[in-house]
Amino acid sequence: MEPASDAPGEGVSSSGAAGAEARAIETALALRAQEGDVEAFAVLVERRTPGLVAFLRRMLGDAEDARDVAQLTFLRVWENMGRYDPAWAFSTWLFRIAGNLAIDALRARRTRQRTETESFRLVKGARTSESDAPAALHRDDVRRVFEACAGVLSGTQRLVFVLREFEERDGKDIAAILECRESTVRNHLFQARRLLRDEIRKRYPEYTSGF
Amino acid sequence: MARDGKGRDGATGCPEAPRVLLAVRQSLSEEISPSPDTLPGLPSDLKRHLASCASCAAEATALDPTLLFAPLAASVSPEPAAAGRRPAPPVAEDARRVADGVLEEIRRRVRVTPAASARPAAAWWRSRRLAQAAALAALAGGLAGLVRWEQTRPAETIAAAPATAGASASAPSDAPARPLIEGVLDPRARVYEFTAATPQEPAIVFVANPNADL
Repeated sequence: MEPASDAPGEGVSSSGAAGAEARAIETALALRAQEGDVEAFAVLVERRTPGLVAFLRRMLGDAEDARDVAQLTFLRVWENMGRYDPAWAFSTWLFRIAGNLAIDALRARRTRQRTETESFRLVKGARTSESDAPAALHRDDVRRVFEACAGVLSGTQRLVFVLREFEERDGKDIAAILECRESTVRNHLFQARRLLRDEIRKRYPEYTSGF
Repeated sequence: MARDGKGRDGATGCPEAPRVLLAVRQSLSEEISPSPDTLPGLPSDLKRHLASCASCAAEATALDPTLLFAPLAASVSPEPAAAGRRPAPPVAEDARRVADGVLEEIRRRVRVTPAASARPAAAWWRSRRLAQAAALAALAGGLAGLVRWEQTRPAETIAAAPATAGASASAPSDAPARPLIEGVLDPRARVYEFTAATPQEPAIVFVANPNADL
């Protein structure tokens, strides 16, 4: 498995000289942080926090949870900095830890069985008349539909779907973050799409009829 | 998500519709017979178009309902949508809070125990491993030296040894107490010796130290 390409703070993969330069800078900072340089780590935190928080909001669907998991991610990264392998982009390693923590958070949330029922009620409650057609769906409503339907996905399926469809990462990046083969990523993605299609058709047939 | 509200019959009116539908069908067919090189999916520009064209969005979601989520893509809306009850603050605001909180916590840790926490945990783990390896090597070296010394002892010393041991058992105050291994300084360490039955056999020594960091 090849090391992943670097990704900028906003979560969309970059390529070319700018991406390579950013990766080199971050690798150097990470190596200094490995030696206990707090200021080098501070620069990494400043660079990566916006993209990480945005990713975690997309992954978790909740700003507060995203903030908590982002903080936990950076603390976990600091505690394990000595295990960072410079052969990998720092962002890949960061997103791997964040993805695992996000899956844990989703699992804990699912145990409480809170999100699905809340989202279902909110989505249904928000649509009060026939004039609320899919064409008028607000972005936040789309987000709630996703939260309601994504309950059928496993943590890994959801992570792959979010990284691919929302973060718009390529297969190689996602495989590096998940530490698996690209074919495995493809399988997770196809499964996630199939499950989501079925769930949308079942719960929101009005959005899929082509009106 | 801004839709232009073209209505149900907008698909035929939108010049992008053929391209959108072709891309959606192609993406769906790639799921059936996947290419090993690429992951199927709509390009960012088409996702942006779906987020702004109601008629194309309707046609596309009829084919693939997951395209309902196209407006959530980072390239369409860099600021993630909210799903919670309360409106979420902008990402930049949350990011500031996260970064401040993380750095405050790390600096606090470094202040509290500079020696231990100035280094990330794994570096500490690595140096601990090194110390363990060094302790093991020292112990092994000591044991090997003792065994060699036992083997190279002069014959008369070896012959006299049982008698000396017997004498010291009956009169312990005759000779000063000496540790079997000089290097074992820990008072809680115990040294067990299985003396050789014949001069050709080496003595075997065990060191049991509850404080040994192995």
